[in-house]
Amino acid sequence: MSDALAEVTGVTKDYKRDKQSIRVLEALSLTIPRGDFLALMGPSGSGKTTLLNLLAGIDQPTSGKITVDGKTITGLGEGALAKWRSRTTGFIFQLYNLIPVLTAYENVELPLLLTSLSRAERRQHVMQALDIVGLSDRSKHFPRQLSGGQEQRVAIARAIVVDPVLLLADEPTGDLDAKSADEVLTLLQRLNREFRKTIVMVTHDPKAAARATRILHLEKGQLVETAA
Amino acid sequence: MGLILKYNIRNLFVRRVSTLMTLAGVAMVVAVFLVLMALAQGILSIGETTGDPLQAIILQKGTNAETSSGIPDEAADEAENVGMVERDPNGPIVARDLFIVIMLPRPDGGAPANLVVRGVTGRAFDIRPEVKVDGGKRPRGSDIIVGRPLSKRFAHLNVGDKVHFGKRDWNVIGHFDADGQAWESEVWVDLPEIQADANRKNTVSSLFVRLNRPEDLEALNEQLEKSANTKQLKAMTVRDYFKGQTGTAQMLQVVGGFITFLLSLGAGLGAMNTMYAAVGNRAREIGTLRALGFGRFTILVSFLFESALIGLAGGALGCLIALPVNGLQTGTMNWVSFTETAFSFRITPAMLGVGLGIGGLVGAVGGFLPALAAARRPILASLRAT
Repeated sequence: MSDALAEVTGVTKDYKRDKQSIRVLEALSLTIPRGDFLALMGPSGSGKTTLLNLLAGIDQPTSGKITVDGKTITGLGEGALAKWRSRTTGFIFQLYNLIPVLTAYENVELPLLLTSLSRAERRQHVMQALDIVGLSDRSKHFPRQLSGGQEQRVAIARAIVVDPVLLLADEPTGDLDAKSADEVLTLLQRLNREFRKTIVMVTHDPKAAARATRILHLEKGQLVETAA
Repeated sequence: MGLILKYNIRNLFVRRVSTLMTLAGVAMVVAVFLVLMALAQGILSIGETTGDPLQAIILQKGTNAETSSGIPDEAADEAENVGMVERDPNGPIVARDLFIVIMLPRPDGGAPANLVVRGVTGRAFDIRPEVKVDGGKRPRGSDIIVGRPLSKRFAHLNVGDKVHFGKRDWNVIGHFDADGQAWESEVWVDLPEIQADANRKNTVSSLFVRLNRPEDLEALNEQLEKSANTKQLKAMTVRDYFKGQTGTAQMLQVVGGFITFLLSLGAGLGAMNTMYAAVGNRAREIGTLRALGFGRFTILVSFLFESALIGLAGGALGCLIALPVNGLQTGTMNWVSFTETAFSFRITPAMLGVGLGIGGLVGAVGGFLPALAAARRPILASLRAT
């Protein structure tokens, strides 16, 4: 129990489309140990991104319970959940989702605005995060001045800058060429091994999944475990 | 939250065209508002600046204008000598004025308009020290002086001109200024000459008196009541008298307010349209910010601020557009005497503040619904937006 970072217990998720209810996850249970690098795979519509969103606290299950780092997030109010997200999770999107009008430095600084850190302390954290992803020399560049791989690395810096216990990555290499994808995966591996970050990554790519320590397959809202 | 402000400001530059269009719409509203209010303020300032608390005007009871007031000499003689009127070595400081309305053509040949001719004595200058005539000239015989703004608004009122009114020609010998007070819209003529010309001998329209103390006005009216000769007269402060003649300004303020309100609706809809487009284009950014932990309220305030900022910039531009009218001279009809009153547009710092406020308000109100839509949109729906 002590090494379980996240526990998903009997989670069901239904979506309403028009007047029809579609079940995406059904009574799913999962334990994610601290320090795990978990790859979630499965066909489109299998519910892997839904599970990731539930773990990130940007969606709520229809029923069941999710606990992350000892805190049960199911049933939390909008404001409490937003606060929890800002401190506990870092999210990496497939299309990077950087803010185009902000520089790399400013994009990374964004999550820190929700903390009580001083400007000097924020600066220290941002530069450290950019240094980890190898882009401290690009801090003044705007996203349009960066390559796709660099943009995703800035997005990773933004995800780790608050030192969250859980990193969630939704197809982080899905929009990258092979070389950039490899760099990003190496960076995620380093964050897992060197910085002991627990990572949950959704991917379609078996090569990317192979870099994780554990692979789970989702099919029709149910889990099928596979060794990495 | 400086970074969030930067985010909003930089986004304004991203969609320059729609920002500029909205900004121009707000600027137009503020400019129109300021010009109309500057017009009203110009008229009001005549009432506010003409006279001082020691100056009182005595008119015939039952009238509120010099046009319809007549005071016989014997009543004027008695009124002059009541105790509340200040005296100097030449006696009580009282100016007897005869108020005549004449009609003159415009310099460009346009339709003639009414203007005031005031018959004055030397005392008129003692009681109105603000009246400064070029070369210190005084109206005597056929020689007359003209308020400087009138010389530009009517024909034949330049120095050296001969102008015909009443039964004869008069010579313009000088122009005068009066610190923007009502006298600047008048032609001053020697009192006995105009009395003779207008067949109004032994009568004046008004008495302008200087009180010993401002609170002596009530005592002056009580004193006037006591005598049979003067009981048909009443005194009021010169300031109150002219304030009562600025009804045009109040009308302008109401009309200006209404026009501004209507235009604001249009500009507000423009701001709303711009902000709805902004919210639509930036749905994924909004979703990302929410996913990072920014709350709905922050998103609402952020977009509201962005919209208000466009409004404020529009307000500032509107102020700049309107500023050049400040000091421009024009004229309006005095609806009490039916004569032309010359005045200058006046834009005060407070009006500029109100103009900026209107701009900000139009932006904020126009941006409220789009900002609310941005804040209320579910995170996942925002993140899925293309």
